[in-house]
Amino acid sequence: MQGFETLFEQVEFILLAGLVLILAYLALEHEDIVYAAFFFGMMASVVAGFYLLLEAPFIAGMQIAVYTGGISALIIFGVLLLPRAQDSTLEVFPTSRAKRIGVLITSVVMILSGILALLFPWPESFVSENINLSQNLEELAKWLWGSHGIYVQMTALIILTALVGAVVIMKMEKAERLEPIKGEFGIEAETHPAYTETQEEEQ
Amino acid sequence: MRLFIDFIPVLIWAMLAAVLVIVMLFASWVLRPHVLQNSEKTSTYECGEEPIGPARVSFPYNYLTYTILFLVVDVLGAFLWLLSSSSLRFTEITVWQFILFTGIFMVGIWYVIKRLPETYLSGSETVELYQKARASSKSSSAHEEA
Repeated sequence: MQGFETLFEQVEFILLAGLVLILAYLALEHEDIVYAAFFFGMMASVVAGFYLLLEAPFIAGMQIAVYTGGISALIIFGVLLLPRAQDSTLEVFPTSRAKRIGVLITSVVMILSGILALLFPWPESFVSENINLSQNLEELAKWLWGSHGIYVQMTALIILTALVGAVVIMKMEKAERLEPIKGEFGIEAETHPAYTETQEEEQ
Repeated sequence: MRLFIDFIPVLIWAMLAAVLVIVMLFASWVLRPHVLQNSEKTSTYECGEEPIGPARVSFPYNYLTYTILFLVVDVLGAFLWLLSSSSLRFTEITVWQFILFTGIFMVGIWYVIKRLPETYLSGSETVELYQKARASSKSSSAHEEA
């Protein structure tokens, strides 16, 4: 039974990893930016499967709620609200030389991180008490809300700061737009007959 | 490993949802009349009116704030989900923590809802700007003539 479970786990991991790679590639390379945003959301929900394999239910739930639900909605809303973004296609590499350099850098980073992942002493780096903590929602809730409540309140304060900051940025942006436009596109360029007529009358 | 097996019903449910979408799309393809595309069919639908301009107009992007509010409530929900799944929620200290946590979030949401109308460029402000710019350009031209 143990052998079957290990095999099943490996098959699941390979399936999930393949799915994530395909969806990430589509999110990067799809011509339509709306489809790319949807593929990003799907990829984020498949990544939650990794956390389930690692037996971390809270992070899996957080991933689905925040990334699949929230961040994807944010991206899709941003695309829909900006009409220029809707029609734009994703950037294409201008030359094959730039593409080759990109592939080279990516492969070097991937090989280096792969070597690091193989050499890193994973079993020794985990605190044995924390393994129980991450696998059990009850234990995690006791740790987070019971003994480390300050973290929760700090999260709330950070989000409060972000909300106030968003409103302040929009008010600053509005103050910039309130400047009267002068010059070529300003009031001097007015060619509407009603305006020019009144000017002539006054003269 | 055990957790993934526990979540297999969710996986089956997700597959059923995908199948439902495919079946609905296929059924509508079967049921709809297959006529050729023409300019009437591909034009933007406006009820009883001739469409003017493209349908993809620019909305004020301040509406993005509502998505940020949704994200904030999402994070609030995730933390409260963790709390609700434990027996800890009956202790007094946790109730006070919950009240403080939710209170900070509510203050943030209340602030955004209250200040959001001020961030839109209202029509009266635009008219005021226009009149001011017109008056100043007039006075400057009068100055030049003098």
